[in-house]
Amino acid sequence: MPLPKDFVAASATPLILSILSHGESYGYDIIQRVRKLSDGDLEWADGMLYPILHRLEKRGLVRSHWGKAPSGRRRKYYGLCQSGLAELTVQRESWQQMNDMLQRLSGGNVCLT
Amino acid sequence: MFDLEQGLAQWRHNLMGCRSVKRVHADELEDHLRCEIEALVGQGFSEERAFALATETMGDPDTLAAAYAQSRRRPFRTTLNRIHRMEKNIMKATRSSALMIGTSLIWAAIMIACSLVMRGAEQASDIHFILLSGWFATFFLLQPSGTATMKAEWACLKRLVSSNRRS
Repeated sequence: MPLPKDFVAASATPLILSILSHGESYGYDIIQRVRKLSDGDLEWADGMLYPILHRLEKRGLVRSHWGKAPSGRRRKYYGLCQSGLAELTVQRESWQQMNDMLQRLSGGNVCLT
Repeated sequence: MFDLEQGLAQWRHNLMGCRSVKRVHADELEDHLRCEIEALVGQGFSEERAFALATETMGDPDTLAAAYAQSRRRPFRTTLNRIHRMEKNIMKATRSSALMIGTSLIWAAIMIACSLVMRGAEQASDIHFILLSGWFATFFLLQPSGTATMKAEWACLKRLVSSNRRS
């Protein structure tokens, strides 16, 4: 089931930071990994990832450099900064907290009025 | 016959027609587009179809340009907006300043009158001190929003300074 837009937008930063925490990557690869992880349920308009990456770079959470792809093309690679790692920890805790709350709430009987 | 390089050049030209998209942005997006086209061709699509699908997934240039415009830092405009907001707060504060001026004038008149009446008296300085305290007390009691506005101004100024440090 495709995820709602709000959810997709809110999860973009932690997902990008999580992927980059495993090592340097580039835009196309990040999108492919997210697609694979979500079994296609999380769909980003491909071009929209880059402004998010640039914003994260301006916030000092990620860094970038131009390198060469195996094909010889110029390619921009992104990596996680120390502050990005700290932000990722905070984001993970927040999402975990939200998940715990929902889990606890789903434990009771459902009452429809 | 479809020419992929020509198609990509045209796509890039359209994209760079938008002011917010710079050459480096277009370079990065083009690399992405080429990756997607290669993957689709690998799945058996024709170059023409792969190009059409890849550009569609990328999003239309106007939406992309809007997203880039949002992510671009415009310190001058942002600072101007902040100054404008500060100015609005100050204007709010000065609207209530008529009461403050009126009260001050009354207190000043009382103090002058006291000086004239108690000229040469030993308790004159004590009375003046009490009147001065009364003046300040009235100022704060009558203007509870004054301190709030001052606090808001101070917070605004701190935000402005800290954001300029970050940038």
